[in-house]
Amino acid sequence: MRLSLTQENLARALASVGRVVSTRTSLPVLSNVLVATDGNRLRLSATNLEIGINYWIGSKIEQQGSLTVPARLFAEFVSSLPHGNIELSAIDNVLTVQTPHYESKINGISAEEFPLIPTITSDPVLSLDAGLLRDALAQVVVAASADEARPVLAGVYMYTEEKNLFLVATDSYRLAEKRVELEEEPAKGFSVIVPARTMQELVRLLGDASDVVEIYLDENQVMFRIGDVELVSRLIEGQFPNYRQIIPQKAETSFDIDTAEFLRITKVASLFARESAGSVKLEIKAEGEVSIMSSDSEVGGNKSSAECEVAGDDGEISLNARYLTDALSVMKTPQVTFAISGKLSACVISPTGEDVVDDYLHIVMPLRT
Amino acid sequence: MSDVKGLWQSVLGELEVSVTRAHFVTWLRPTYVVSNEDGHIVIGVPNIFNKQWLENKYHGDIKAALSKQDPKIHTVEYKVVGKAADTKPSHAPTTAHPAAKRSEPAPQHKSARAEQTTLPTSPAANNNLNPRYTFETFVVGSSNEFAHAACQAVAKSPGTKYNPLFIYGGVGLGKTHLMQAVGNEILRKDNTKRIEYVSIESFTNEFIEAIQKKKNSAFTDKYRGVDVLIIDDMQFLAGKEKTQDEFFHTFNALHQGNKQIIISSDKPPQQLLQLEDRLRSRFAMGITVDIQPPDLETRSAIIQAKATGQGIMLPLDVVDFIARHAQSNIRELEGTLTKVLADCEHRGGEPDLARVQQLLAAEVANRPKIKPLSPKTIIERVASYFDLQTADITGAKRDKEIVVPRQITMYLMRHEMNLSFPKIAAAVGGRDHTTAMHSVTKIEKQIDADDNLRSDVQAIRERLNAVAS
Repeated sequence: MRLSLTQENLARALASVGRVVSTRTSLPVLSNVLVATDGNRLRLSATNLEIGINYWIGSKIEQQGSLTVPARLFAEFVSSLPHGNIELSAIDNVLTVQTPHYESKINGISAEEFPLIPTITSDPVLSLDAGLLRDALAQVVVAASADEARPVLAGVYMYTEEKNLFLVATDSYRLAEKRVELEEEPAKGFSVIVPARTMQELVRLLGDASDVVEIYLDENQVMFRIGDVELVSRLIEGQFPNYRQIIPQKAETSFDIDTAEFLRITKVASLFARESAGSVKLEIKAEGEVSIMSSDSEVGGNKSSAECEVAGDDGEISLNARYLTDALSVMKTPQVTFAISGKLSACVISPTGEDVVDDYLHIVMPLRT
Repeated sequence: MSDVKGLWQSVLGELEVSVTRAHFVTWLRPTYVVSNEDGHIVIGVPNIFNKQWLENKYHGDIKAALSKQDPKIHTVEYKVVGKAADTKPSHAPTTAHPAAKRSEPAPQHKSARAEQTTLPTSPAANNNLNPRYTFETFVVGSSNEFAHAACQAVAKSPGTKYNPLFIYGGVGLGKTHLMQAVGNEILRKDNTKRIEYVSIESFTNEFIEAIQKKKNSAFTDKYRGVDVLIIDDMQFLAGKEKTQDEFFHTFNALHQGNKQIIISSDKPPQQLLQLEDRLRSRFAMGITVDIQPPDLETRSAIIQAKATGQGIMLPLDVVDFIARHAQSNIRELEGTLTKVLADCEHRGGEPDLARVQQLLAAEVANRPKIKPLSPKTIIERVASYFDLQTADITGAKRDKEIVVPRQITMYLMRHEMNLSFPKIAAAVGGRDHTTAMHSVTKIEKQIDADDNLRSDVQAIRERLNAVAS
């Protein structure tokens, strides 16, 4: 194998691909990244057997070939190099990386040993704007469970309904649902649960891509293609909870508030809620004020208030401050509505304001005090 | 299945020595046999990478090793089976997953003051339903058609039509099959419905565990949040007062929310004497249906359905012979059929009557000798069932407690032995033959309307059969 390409392209590709390698594995080749020529492009691949990435980069190929090298070392080395052209060549499982002032030899493992990263050849079930999907996912994936005990909750439920794509995640303490309006109704609707880790990886890959992202489905697996990058992942089997019946339909008390202001007072209150594992109390006055209170027997206590527009009666509720800050941090609109129905019922946070599309909601379950 | 498992174990054992340990651990160890039918073996693998690796690298070795163990195997298929518990997926670097760090455990255990409440998200998937039990695989006959119709009505409009649905009948007659068929049918139409199938014994155990671990609310949430609750073997709730109490409240909560409840038991609600009155009366609120032992035609139909399901056509005389041979319940029927089919497979060739007769002869010989039913045994059985003396039945007393058993005795003599009325009359204390006629007609008339009577007669019949066959 012999080829040359720019440091910028290689470093960017390695940063993306290197994240999915497996570190704790009995099979050393899984900690490696596959470097292989593919026609007149270079393909980098990595997998942890749950997620796999194929990343193609334009390069000047002089001789075809392939091998695998330790991902971490290769990525760190390339990112330390100055901008400019890099030459790669491989002889007998040793990769030589050469620039005018640097020359390294990295011992690798034969490409034969590397698992094939499957691609799906059927037609995409959906294609949509990469930025749109990235923003939508970022608003949802935060609510997925990090615990694998209930596999379906460690995933993002993704399904279509008429002209809408729905993304939903819940860890059973909070739930986020995002609706993305599509330009046209997909020919074939679908409903799958994608591991949250895959979605987090996808959000990063989508980065500031302005391309279109295509979604492909096959039995047990999903593939996202963004330009020259393919992300393949298993799907989670099982049934997502029937979450719609959980969403409260009415509220006894609700208020509209400036998102940044609400986030600020929540963060302040959470400073005094560490002892109580994040427990803060919200008090809503019908005259138009919300206060967040927290107390800590060692540190002290806090009460922060903000003006708001209240509908309904006075109300109060105790929440985990972290869930509230998580929810408010992913809100896109300058104003949000916060609605509660009694101390022990779910509270709903949703975007509000003129010309705001009602396409997102975030539910947080209260603390019983 | 166990020998298939053993087969795969020996294949793995053979491959283990020919590949490196790391490869074995990564690619081969997390696999298992999903099915092996007609030489087509399906190997379950944890992920697509595994599948491709086996297909591309080890397929030849695997196939060779399999054929060596079992020459009948001709094709091998690999299938990704999500079985997260068995396979520990290797994790990406933690830097890639701030979620893992971000999420401290839910705070409810840390704080004595505040407890995190949860959304009711219990999965619908884990409902203990066996997907094999469907209406399609249920053979309908005169003994179960009413129960079948009621179940279909419930599956069509759960929670509204017959609530609760109470199914009773003897062992191995298909109660569990019917109840699960309702659950599966409802799920097929609307897979968001939450359905819980549980035997009353598991219900009790879970309840006790919940109390011990002080997780009462989780238990309550689980059972009161379902759309359809299917409870098997209700009779075992007898004598468990705390659980009865809990079940009573669960029942009420569900019933008020128009959630469907389906219950099975070996006796009708009125006869579950060890249950509290309030439970018994509630069980009878909806519809109560019974399943009787299948008659000869139904038994034949079941045998044919099962045999066809395994791809074997049985000659009619064989079907008839097996149906006559296994009378008491469907499990016995299945057991007998399996034996016949296994014999055919083992020795090759089609099953014929002579071979089946020979095969089952030993079984017949091992059974308790068939004692021909006598009027005396019927009197004894009826008397013991009602806690009476045989003299009471044959005597002259006309108390209601004695008259009904006496009439049942005569009814059974007529129906089980085909005795003439004068003989019946003579056997039961030398009465007039018109008395015998009257008694038999009276029971015949009442038996359809009176659940208690029917179940008494059924119970005595079973005891008679236990002696007779």
